[in-house]
Amino acid sequence: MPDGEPNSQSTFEKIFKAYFGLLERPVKFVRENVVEPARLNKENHYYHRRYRRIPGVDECEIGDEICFYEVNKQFKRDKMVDGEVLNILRQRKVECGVYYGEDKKKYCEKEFKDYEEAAANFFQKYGDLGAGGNVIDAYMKQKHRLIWERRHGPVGSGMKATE
Amino acid sequence: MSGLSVLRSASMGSKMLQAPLSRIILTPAARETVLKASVRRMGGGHGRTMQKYPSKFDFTLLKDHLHFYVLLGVVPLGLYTMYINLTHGKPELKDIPEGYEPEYWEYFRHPISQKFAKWFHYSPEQIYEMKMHHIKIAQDSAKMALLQRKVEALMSQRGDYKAWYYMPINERRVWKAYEKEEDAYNRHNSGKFN
Repeated sequence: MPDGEPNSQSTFEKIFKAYFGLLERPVKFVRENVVEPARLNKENHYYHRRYRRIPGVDECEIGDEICFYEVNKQFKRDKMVDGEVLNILRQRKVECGVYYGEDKKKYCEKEFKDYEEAAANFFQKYGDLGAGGNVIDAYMKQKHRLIWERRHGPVGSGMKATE
Repeated sequence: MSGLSVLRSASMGSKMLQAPLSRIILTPAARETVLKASVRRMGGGHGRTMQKYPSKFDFTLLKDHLHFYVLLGVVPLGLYTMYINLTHGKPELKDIPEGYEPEYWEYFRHPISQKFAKWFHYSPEQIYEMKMHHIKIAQDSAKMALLQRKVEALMSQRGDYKAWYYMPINERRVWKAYEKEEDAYNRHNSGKFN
């Protein structure tokens, strides 16, 4: 059947188009004559908000609640952003796995590695704090991890026996 | 209809419950009487009767309220939403131009969200500052309370300060009482009433 010729339509196609045109034609008419001219000169955009970074909780005075509030807000924002990044990576991993099925070990190595690394980093910073964990908890957790690493080497290498 | 009336009577208290219950409990003869008595013959014994119905007041009121609030809120908001969605397509993310500080509502995605943020809500910066202001007030009053407790504890511990204090009061009554007392004293000493 040659392409692009109107005569090449079969009878079935003609009937089909005439029938569904009952629905399609009015919709198309309104879209082209009402909606699109109305949208021509309308500003319709939004911006991405970027927050300025503030110093960490280690520079707050003890008992300075306002400083704590600001740093904690920044911490919660960071947590949300990192969580979203992790979500995207997880989604990529899952989609790749579903697409390749049995072959996912072969083709999705990068996605799996990225996700595992990001999840480990996320847990290293925010893990074990619970939903109400604040910035001081995270700071103390980091401090304890650094002390542990000074005594025993990097995390995952096992604890040295005490003499 | 009878099933509905039973349901209604169950929901409307014991007064309405009497009629259907009596139809179940009464003996056939009494039931006959009740049925006859419940139809009032409005004179003449012809076909003109006054039927008794359960109240339709609640249902009518419900319909009135639905009508009112739909016209008040749902219709204008629906029209506005339709207008905005027809005249604005999908919003697109743009980079902030050089040297331009966007207003706070320009970070919201949908035009309706932007309008609501602009017209009805505080800006996030303002909320942030207001929250910090409340924290500041709370922290100051806590500091003052701690200081006061410390001062009182030290005073009671050392006992070297009498803790004089001043209460600002209206002294007019004090002067009045003083004058009254003085008058009485003068009268007493003038010998008039002896």
